[in-house]
Amino acid sequence: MGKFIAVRRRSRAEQLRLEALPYEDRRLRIMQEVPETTRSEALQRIGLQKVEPEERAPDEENKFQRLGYAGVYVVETHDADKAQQAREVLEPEYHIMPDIDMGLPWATQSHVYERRPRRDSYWPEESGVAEARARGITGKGVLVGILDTGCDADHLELRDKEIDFCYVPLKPTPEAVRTVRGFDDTNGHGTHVTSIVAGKNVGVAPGVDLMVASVIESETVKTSLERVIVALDWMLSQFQLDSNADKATILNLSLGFRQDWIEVTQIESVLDGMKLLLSTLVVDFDVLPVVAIGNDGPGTVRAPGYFPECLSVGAVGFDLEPAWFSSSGLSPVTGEPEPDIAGYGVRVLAALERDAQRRSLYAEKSGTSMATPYVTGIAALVAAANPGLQGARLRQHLLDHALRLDGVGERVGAGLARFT
Amino acid sequence: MSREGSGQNRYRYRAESEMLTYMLTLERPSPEQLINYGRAQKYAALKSSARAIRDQLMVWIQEQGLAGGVARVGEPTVFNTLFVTSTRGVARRLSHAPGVVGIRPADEFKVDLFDADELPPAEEDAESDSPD
Repeated sequence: MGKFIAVRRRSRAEQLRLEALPYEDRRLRIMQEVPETTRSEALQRIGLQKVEPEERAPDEENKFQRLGYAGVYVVETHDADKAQQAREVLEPEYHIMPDIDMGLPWATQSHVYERRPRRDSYWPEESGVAEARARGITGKGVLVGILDTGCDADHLELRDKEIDFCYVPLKPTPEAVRTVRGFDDTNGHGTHVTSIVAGKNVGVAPGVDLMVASVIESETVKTSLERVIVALDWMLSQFQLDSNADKATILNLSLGFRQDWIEVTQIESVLDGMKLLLSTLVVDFDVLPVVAIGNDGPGTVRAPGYFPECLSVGAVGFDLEPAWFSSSGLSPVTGEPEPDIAGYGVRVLAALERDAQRRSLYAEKSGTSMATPYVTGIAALVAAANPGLQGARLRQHLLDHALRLDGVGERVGAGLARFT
Repeated sequence: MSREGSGQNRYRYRAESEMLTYMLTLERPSPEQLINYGRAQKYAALKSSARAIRDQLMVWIQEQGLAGGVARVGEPTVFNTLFVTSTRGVARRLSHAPGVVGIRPADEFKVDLFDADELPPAEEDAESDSPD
């Protein structure tokens, strides 16, 4: 069984009453909720040992900790019956969630720069980025949508751009969905991705029209199908503007799902929901979804990248060798090899965040998350240079004109995406 | 950790009266109906279809006396889906509502952001990175 966490759930009415209070009173009310012995006693009766917050956890296998101010119980037991009984004690008022190791690859070892390192070019010659720049092609007139943790729109790389930004909360009521200036990215992942596509200096296609939707909580790294759908609906609503009606549109998804992170009863929902989304985007609206294939190395590919509607992206280094982490293998949907194409995804320099002195920080990060916005940027350059080329035809053009990489088998698909 | 009883089956174990979020798949105009539409027209047609079904569903919920078991009905989108927060009992009934094709649980879930810095390098690559 292992460990699970129970978080106190307030009813909508309770929540509204709490939110209506001034801050100090609200804190007082929360403090008043702290004394609670009934459930602790019930858990002890089941045979779970109570551990006080400051106490060193005993070696005892069956134990729980109550974090009163946070309204949380942490229950740990390998006895399935005890776990089920504890769940029954807590479930009426607590939201139960598994305590799963995040495994989220935080970029602690990436190089962080307080100033942008000066380089003649941030992208190698074979990418064609410099050639596009010399021809005045920057992706202007192409719409790029990014679903991620948000972006820091005041970072030096992005502050001169007009970015359509939408924050989609967990309960996306019309009042709660906010179209505001981009601010919401304590994670830094979305800012890095966005600046690889369209950063003023480090971006592949700085001229694109950006639509950034924050649909992933930076701290929990959680989202929901509803958030994704509401965000995509917002993006597609831009087609109602005459000026956008025929623009090539590319969707960047530097993310994927792990089936063991999703409730068993939900896996089919998530996969079917994503399939439905992708089908509508591609078939009805001619959008090109560019999606990371994952960081699990050879043998494992991740959804939604392996769906046939997506252009799935693996990572190579600047030496054009496949990155050790870059996923590859057969799509469980089509049986075809993935990824479709590759982008630079090792030690890619891009925007990170701003520090307390408002300096714009940069970081080198690695991952198929970074390779994907590179490919998105290249797709935008190609679409800008070839008006009318979009959707499936744009996808095919990228595959046909990729730089073939010899001797690396199917780890990089058609090869390195490039502007030609 | 085994999936059974690990807390990953919340929908299975929850009480009947508990409010959970579900995704309803709705009927939508056929591709043939949309074939000659531009993007803006398609957007309008798909949205309007979903909105009509949502309106119809709201009336149906009232008529069936299910309003007490429904906490929220989400906004219509072009993706022929509606998100409804309701009890399990109501959710079962909703699957038979007019215009509804299917219903699935739709709680939040974690995603993986594919930046790789903390993952260990493969041995052969670690060697190739050495100064030698």
